[in-house]
Amino acid sequence: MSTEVQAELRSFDEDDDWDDDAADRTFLIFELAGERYAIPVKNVNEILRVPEIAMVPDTPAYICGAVNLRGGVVPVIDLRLRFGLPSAQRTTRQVLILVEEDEELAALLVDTVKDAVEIHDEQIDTSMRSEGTNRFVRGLARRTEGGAMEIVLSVAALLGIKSVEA
Amino acid sequence: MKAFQAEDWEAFRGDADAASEAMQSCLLALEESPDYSADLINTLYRALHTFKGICRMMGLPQIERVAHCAEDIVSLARDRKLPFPREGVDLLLVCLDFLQQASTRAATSGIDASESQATALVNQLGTWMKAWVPDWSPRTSGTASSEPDFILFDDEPAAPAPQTASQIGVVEVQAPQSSADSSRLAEPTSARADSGAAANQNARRKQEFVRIQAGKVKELLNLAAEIGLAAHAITKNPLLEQLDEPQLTDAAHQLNNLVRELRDAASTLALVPIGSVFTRMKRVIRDVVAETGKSVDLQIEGEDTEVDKAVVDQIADPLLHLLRNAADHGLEPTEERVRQGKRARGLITLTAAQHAGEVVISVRDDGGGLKRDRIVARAVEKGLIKSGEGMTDAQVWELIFEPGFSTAQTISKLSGRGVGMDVVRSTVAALHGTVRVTSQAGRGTCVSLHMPLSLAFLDGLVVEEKKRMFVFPLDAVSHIYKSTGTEIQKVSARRSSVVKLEGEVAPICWLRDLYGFGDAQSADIRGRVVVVLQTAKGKLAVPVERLLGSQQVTMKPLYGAFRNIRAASACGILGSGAIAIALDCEKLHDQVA
Repeated sequence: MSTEVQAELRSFDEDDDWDDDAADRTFLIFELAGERYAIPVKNVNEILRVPEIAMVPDTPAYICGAVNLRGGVVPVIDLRLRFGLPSAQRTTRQVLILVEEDEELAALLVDTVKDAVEIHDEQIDTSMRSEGTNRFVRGLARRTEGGAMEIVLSVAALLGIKSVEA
Repeated sequence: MKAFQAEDWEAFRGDADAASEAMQSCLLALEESPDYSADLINTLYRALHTFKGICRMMGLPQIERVAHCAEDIVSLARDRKLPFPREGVDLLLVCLDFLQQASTRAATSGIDASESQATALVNQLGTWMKAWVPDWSPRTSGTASSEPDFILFDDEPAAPAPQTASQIGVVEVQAPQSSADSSRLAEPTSARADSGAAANQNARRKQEFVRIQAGKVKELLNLAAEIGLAAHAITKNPLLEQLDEPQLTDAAHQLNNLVRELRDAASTLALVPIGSVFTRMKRVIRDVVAETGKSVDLQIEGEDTEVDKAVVDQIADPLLHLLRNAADHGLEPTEERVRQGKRARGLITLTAAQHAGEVVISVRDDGGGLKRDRIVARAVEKGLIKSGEGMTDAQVWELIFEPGFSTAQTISKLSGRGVGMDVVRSTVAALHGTVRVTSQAGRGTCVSLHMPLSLAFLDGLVVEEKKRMFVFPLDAVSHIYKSTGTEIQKVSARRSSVVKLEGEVAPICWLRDLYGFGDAQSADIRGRVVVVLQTAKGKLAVPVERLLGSQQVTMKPLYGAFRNIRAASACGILGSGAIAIALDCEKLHDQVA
């Protein structure tokens, strides 16, 4: 999967012309239960293969456990559970996306990582949020006429720091 | 005036704190030894001189004026070899309070003390000096302009200039060749040698210190923990054994040993002597004496005991509370003591000691002891219990830790501040420690705080229950046995059964029920391994599926989604890199209540 994506992310990092605006416009696209989702690359620290996930008691239902990443203990959010979908069998294609917001770290368990793309604000349609998951959804993005749609997510909302304002 | 950066102010604050701490310990020692002591006076002079110097450097003329004037008094005593009278100590302590408050404020706001305040103090000091030594006249008119250069440590050029010497959040590390130096009560804490204040006294047997930013020590601890995990992954790899290469196995064994030593050595870096906190406590007792009119001796033992920096940072408030309690409520009024044939002066002993991976700090008084009847009455009144019947003394003493128990009684001027024994317990629990109380009628009370030596690692017993791993502090494990089922007693028809152990009855705590990851009914305890924990409330029996053995566990704070795990104290990382939740046995016991 993601070696190309990782390389691409790295090339963004190394690009000198890379300004803050461009960083704000870049999104990581991943797949979950047949839908394409986008999260801002600036929230993404790392993409990794799924290590052993330790089960931890007394956490919200969408936390499927904890992983030990270089000596730090990070909660794992099963995005299916977060979106109210039934959890799926683990597959080898699944990856963890390590995200950070407000110094809070979490790992998102997703089906596959696809791509890193630029999405401009005007390409995000915030009027038609899908039902049910909308407290995590900032809007729908369609980058090209007739192209694939991506659901743009708020990392802060996924982490439970704050929800998307209606 | 030069604009100072935040780091400059931080450095200033660190130096000012170190100097005031040295001054405080000198003043309190002077009070105890009325005879002229060249050592103490010199140390005090040096600390004041340092303080004055850094104030001048930072452009704080008002604070500097007061420091200068205080320095005059001390230099007068030094030059004429005068014994230092009690009123002088009182006055200088007032001065010190001013210097401390003003410098702290300056460090955060950059604002000097008000001129009127400074003038008032300077006049007060001048008046007293004239009364003390009538032929004295001030060196200059208030400001320190007569001194030609800004030279710190003029008697000791080797000492570092303060602006490079320190930063906030510093731990001081003792160079290895120095053995623990049994400092006398009167001595400032030996670890502060580079503050300039204690330097003279320690000159002959000077220990070497390196001041290191606390963050760097933490980084090293993290790296030591990580290298342990990496080494474990290599040395415990089954492939290694298949290779059948004795040289390689030996090297792996050696690597493991070295890693363990590295980790132990690194964790001692985060340890600092508790003396600085104890010095502050002397001051508290002094104030208590002034306010209650009781005469109290404070005996301090083990001020060289090294504890985790986090303990030093957080233990002061609980200790303050315990000492005030001991002086205010523990010790009887003097007449009462005399009537009972006790020594008129009350004795409070503050002790720190290390026992096998544990630090014990205790506050003991020789007062009347806890009043069982009064505690029971109060607990009944507060609705905590129905009656005290059948309760052991230890169970009764536990009541004082209930939230809200101590309010009304302790909102006296001294013990107030809204800190109760429950806060003492929760502060200590946050440091992964426990609080124990013993008391004997007519003989006194002892409250002891037991904390692990290092907060970065825990010697723990690892267990597994329903695929989740947990760690109990090894110190809290009383024993482990395999259940036959005969020890079970049903308390009521409903649910809570207990096990009977050596005459003591212990409630059963099923982790699967507590955290709701079990089947509907509790499993049968028969045939299970049961870990028996010793808590302040008594024993607690925890049946587990598997015992994974004892090991040193790296402790990580709980954050984010893990913040609300009940009875958890930290996220533990095992040698294998696996994650286990470290449990706080006291809180666990509260959960089954």
